Amino acid sequence: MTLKELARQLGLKNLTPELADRLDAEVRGGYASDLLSDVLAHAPAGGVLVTVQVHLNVVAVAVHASLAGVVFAMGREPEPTVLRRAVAEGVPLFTTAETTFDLSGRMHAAGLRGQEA
Amino acid sequence: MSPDAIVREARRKGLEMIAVCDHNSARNARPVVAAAARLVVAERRGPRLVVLPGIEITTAEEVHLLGLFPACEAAEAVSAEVACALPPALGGARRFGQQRLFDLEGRPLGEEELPLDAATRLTLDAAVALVRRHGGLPIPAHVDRPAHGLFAQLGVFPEGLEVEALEVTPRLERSPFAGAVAALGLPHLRCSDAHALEEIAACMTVFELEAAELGEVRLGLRREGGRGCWHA
Repeated sequence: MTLKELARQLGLKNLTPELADRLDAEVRGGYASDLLSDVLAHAPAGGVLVTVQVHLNVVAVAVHASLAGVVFAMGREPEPTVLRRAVAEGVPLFTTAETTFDLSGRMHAAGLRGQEA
Repeated sequence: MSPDAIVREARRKGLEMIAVCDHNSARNARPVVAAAARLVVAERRGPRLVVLPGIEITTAEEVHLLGLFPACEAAEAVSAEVACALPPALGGARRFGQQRLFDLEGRPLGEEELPLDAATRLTLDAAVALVRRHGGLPIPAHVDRPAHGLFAQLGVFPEGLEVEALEVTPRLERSPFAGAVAALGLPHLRCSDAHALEEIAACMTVFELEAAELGEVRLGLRREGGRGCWHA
């Protein structure tokens, strides 16, 4: 499944429309955590992170962990500085009103897993 | 822990300077400063026990940030802003532990009603700026710990964060973040983080300073002008 298909299927709001070319990336898994050290250590490469953590470091960690994108749950949206950095670094960001739990459940039902098979 | 018990225990263990850093409040700092002054008067002589007023702010990212201040007024001004950034009072529900407030004579005044164990709405950047605006020294607390330490919460050191020192625990060497802490090259402060009397002076930082005050602590952390610091 591509990032574009996932975003459409889950009704995610795209916070970085500048990164349209990144939406064709294949999503290889999912991860849900607000502890960025945990994301660094355990998120699957090519996966999508679900988090309520909106600190700028989300972008840095997404780059380090080679994530396909990040979804902020609970309607959270980061500061404009974070969005600008995400565009510069090529990390697509999304937001949804859903909780981390509910969104993760729908991602799992869509076939994504927390670890690479 | 009452103000008088804290300063007596600190004195008994040979400490010359302590910092009072309640979670998200500096309302007990002045009572502890007063208790230290009473202790010196009661002993009639002997060295001053210096109490630095401080606070331990829980940021929106759930990072713990210490603020140490040159005077109670500054700590209290920051405390008032932190209070506005906390969730509302719980209205009689059981809080996580006691939140006793004391008067300047060291007598219990009552309980703080705000949930001091909660995260504030202040981002780490905003909390650092708040401490600095009031002349304080912002220090990320127990950065090597898995809970509420800067590296656990944020993965890597945030770009441009204006802090001059980090607080570490005696377990730094065994922490998964030891390498990241060392790579930063910032001065380390090691404190007991005492939540009970018996934990006071469990570990400490020894300073060589010209005077026991915050400005000198800053110099000591940077090892400037013949000042120094090391861990004990």
